[in-house]
Amino acid sequence: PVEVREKVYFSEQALPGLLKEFREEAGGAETAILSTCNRTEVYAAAPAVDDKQQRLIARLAGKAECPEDNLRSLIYTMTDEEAARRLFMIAAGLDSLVVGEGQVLGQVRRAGEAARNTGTLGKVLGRMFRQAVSVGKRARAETAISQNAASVSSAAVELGRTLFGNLERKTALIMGAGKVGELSVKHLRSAGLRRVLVVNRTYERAVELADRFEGKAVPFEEMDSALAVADVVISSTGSEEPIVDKKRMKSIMRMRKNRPVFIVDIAVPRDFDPLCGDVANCFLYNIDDLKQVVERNIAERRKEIVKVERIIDEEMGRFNSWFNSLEIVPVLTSFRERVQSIRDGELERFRSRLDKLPDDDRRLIDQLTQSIVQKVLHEPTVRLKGVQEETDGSSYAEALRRLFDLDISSEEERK
Amino acid sequence: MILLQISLLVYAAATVLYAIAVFWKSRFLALYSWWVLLAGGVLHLGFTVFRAVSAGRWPFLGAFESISFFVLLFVIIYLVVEKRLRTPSLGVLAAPMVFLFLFVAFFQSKQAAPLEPVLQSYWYPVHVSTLFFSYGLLALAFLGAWAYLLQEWLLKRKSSIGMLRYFPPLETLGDLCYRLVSLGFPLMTVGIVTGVVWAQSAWGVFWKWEPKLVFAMVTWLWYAVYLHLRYVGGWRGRRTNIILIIGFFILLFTFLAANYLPGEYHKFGMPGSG
Repeated sequence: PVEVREKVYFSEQALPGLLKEFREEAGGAETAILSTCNRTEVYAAAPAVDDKQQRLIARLAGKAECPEDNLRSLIYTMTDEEAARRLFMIAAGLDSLVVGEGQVLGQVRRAGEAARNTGTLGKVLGRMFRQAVSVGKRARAETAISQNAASVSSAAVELGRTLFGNLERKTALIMGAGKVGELSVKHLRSAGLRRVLVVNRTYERAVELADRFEGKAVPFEEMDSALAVADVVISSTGSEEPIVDKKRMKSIMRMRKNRPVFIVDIAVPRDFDPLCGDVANCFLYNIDDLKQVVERNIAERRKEIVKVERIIDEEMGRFNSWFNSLEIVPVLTSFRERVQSIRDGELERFRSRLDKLPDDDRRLIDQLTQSIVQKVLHEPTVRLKGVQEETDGSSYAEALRRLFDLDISSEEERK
Repeated sequence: MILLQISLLVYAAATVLYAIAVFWKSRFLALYSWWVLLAGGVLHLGFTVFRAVSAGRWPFLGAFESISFFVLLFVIIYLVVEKRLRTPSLGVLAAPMVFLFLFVAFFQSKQAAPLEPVLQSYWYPVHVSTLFFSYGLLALAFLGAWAYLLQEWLLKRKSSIGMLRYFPPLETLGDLCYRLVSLGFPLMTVGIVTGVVWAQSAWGVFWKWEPKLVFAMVTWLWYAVYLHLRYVGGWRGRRTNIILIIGFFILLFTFLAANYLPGEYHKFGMPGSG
């Protein structure tokens, strides 16, 4: 619920301090925080989970000034592969309200950067965030998950493009004011459209809006001539009655020498008489039409989810493999060293007696013992390497470590 | 002949590829369809050259050669236009047309007739190629007009938004058609004028009121009217595109059928030739 989300939303400035606090709380683990209007996630990587999760939750509750029990019931916790997969899914846009939206990828990237700059990002989380960003990029590049307009304003621009192709030399006219209308003009401008005209019953408001878009205000009385010039019209006045009827539209088309015009009528009640759409070269879309476009687009995007999940599976395989190798490689090295040292140790023990043997025999014993060592090491080595991509691959390494009581010299011991 | 048959098959393959590339939105195939069409064109060109060499004259005498040569020019024109448009969508219309026309050509008599004395002039290649090249341009404008009408219908109808993305933007299509005709019409004019001038030196008369020539005139006038309406009258959109479509049918009639109507002068090669 949004009241709770509000409390756990952390701004970018607050992050460094929080990251350090959480790291302390988690006993020196790596930490990263992803905080957006839709979610707040705390990531930590440490050798053992223990009670760290609980302590982090408690600290979070403290920060949010929210009773711990309340918070606990709303939080979900994940460990190991689940956690990594979740971040990948978020980066790919699968957890967003609008599937495949692009903003979240930037948010994930910035969360990683913030943690790196604060110094709380280590090997595991670093790799995880880096790979998450690349998953997000892959999902958007290799599938159509982020294509097609998924909002009314971008749908308007997309349709404008279908009509006009290059928008650079086109003119847009915005009638009235309103969030959706202004957003549409903003999108049009980022798509390359330069000229913007603004019409409003109140001239001052028109000027104000025009300034924001580096456009030109047009007096209300001169609306027809503005319509004659504009190629894309975004209409959202508060008018109770339609402002333009079919007859007027026809005369405007004549003024335009019949050049096509794209009218997006987002006003309710509508500003343009629907019959205007029957006029040749006049393409009239109202808010319901646009919503239908968006709905269909989002349905298209959903079809891509399967493909994205496949990409995530692939990347998870790579991540698991890397993660397990962190564990497996030192253990394997240590194991090999151990067996080798056993052989060397025994040879040393028997040295005095071996030295009495002829050279050939001594060499034979050397070879024999080395051969035994190789053969013993071969199977486990191959198997451990083979198991790297599996989720619980590291548990084999852990078992080996315990069975042989191996001492892992590197500090990277991950759970 | 085998070369031409193979090129026909390659054109068929191109047709299929274009359809898949556009309707299954395959970016991979979109690249290859152009190359396949090019391959067909190269084979076709090979055949044409071979034909010219073996017959000892320019390879556009008679219905078979005329249609084949027209198709070849059309393929070249389309390949260039697609590169400039940067979308393979018109190929869905162009490739079938290429295949169909060439297929029809196969049903014509393929004998290579010798060049009649009256045709042995440097006017011959000039007259024919300018005309055929203009036909190619106008044929593409014809296809563009269809695409425009489809795109416009979809936009007005609003409910088939997905389909809209297959074809180029409406305005791009409109501009394409206009530019094709702007190039094709003067070229056709040159073609007709060269014919007229040549007629004077070959027959002693500028003009003969024969079906073929009359229809050529009608075609010319039709496109002149189109340009006038579009440029001066400001006509735009559905109406002008319908004019383009009708215009091409008239052109086709001039190109193919008018030869079969009675006339003495403009008949060359086998009976009922181009």
